[in-house]
Amino acid sequence: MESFFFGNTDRMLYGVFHTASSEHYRNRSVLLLYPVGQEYMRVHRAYRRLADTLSDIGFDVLRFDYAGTGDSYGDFEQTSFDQWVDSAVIAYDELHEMSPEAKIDVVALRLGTVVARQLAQDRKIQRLVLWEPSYLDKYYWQQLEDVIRIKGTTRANFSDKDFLHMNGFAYNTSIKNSLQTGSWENFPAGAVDEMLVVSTREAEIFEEFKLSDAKTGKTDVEIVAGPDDWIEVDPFGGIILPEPSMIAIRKWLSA
Amino acid sequence: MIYSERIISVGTPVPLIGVFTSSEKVATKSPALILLNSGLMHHVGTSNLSVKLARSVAKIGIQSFRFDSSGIGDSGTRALGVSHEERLVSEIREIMGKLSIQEGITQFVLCGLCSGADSALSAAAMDPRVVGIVQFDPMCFKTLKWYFYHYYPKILDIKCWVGLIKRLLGAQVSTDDLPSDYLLPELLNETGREPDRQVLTSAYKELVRRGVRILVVMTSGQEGCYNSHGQLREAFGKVNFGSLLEEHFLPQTTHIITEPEDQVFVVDLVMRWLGLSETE
Repeated sequence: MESFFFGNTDRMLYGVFHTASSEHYRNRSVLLLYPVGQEYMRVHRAYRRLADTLSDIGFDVLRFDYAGTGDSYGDFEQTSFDQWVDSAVIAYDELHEMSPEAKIDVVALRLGTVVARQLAQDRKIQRLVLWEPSYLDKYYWQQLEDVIRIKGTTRANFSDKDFLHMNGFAYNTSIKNSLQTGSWENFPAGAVDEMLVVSTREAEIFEEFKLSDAKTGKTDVEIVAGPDDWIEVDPFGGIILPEPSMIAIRKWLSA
Repeated sequence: MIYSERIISVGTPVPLIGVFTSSEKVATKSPALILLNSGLMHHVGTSNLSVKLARSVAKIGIQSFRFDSSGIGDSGTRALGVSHEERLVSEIREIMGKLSIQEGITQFVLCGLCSGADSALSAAAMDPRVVGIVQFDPMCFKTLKWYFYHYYPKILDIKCWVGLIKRLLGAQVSTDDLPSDYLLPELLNETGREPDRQVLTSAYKELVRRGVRILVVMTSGQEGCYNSHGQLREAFGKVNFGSLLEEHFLPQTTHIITEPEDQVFVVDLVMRWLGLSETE
């Protein structure tokens, strides 16, 4: 496990590279795309664990922070969805440079799946894991607004003219606008060879994404038990370890 | 850009990983800020607060290092051999050693939230290179004033009387019926925070003896043991803090400081406090 900064010198991204076990080396790399906001905080440990286990079974793995998140350059308040996609493209190229011969798979969680969709338009993704992809795009923003509507405005969770404040992170309206226009309907055919959808919810997935085997070589769906309270945050800053999903992902990727 | 950042790894064979933030103009003789983990949160801090603090204090020429202790965040897991608390303190001192040799820094301010606040105190008491600590929600003790502020509003609340009668009669009461502060001590125990008044008092006394400055910020996260401004000073009455202790109480703020205006407040507060430190 090696932490490093990469990318443009005045816009550095923070990444952690997990070197594949030489014993089980399989000449494949995995790029992990985080969710954002408090979801990123809560899932960080799970991502490290997933990266560790994937490297143990022979994958080179890169996880990284998008612009404006974690240790990467910029402030969350001023970041944009396009910057997250740019970050993913830079990270993809970095991983390709580190393991030039390896085919690249992508595992993306929650809003990371929307970043992955954009990434797939620019870079070849061999296999794509969409982890908890439902309720995204415009529904993601709606989900944040629903929390405020149902639970009421608090000093931490509220909307104003320019931002939606949720659990310590201020989402600017440019993110909202980007999510409004995104769609899976235009997902290009052949962008991904194989796909796995991992979710705790059975409904909506195909309805929402309108994905089919015609667009991807093969799509598997795994419904697993596990936490789905992604937006809930306990007052002590607890974490999420969705072990069943991680097992399903590891199993599918290693097949 | 006012700051520049780079990775520093500390120790072998399992290094501790952190991000060193340097300023364009490093204030001479100013201590560096070391930002500690809180619980299992990795080194960016709750709601990215450690990153915000690091980049903000760079504006006043103060360097910082936010790192993950063994097994947390992006640091590998080292064999224990000693207690968790002893290992944390040892790692903090190891970090200071590395920064002294590599960056020529001789004085440090330790900053942490919750368990990080406790580690800051323990390490500071043991190491003379520490000249200041910033504690968000450190351990504290109830005082008479705490009981007054806690129970006075409940005297006229019929639900509290019903609950008390039920408990006295031995009726089964589900935890859902209990006010949240009944559950808090259990949560604190689960996270291993068992305050020892003597140990904490000795640690604070040692800091005062050396003239170490202390900034304390309490939030609603400690309402189970803290509910009025100045209570920490009162709870450790045997420690003659004098002007070394600056204590703030943010009763409307969550433990992980998710309120945007409070995030701004604590960053400004730490900057001001460190700025004072620099001019003294």
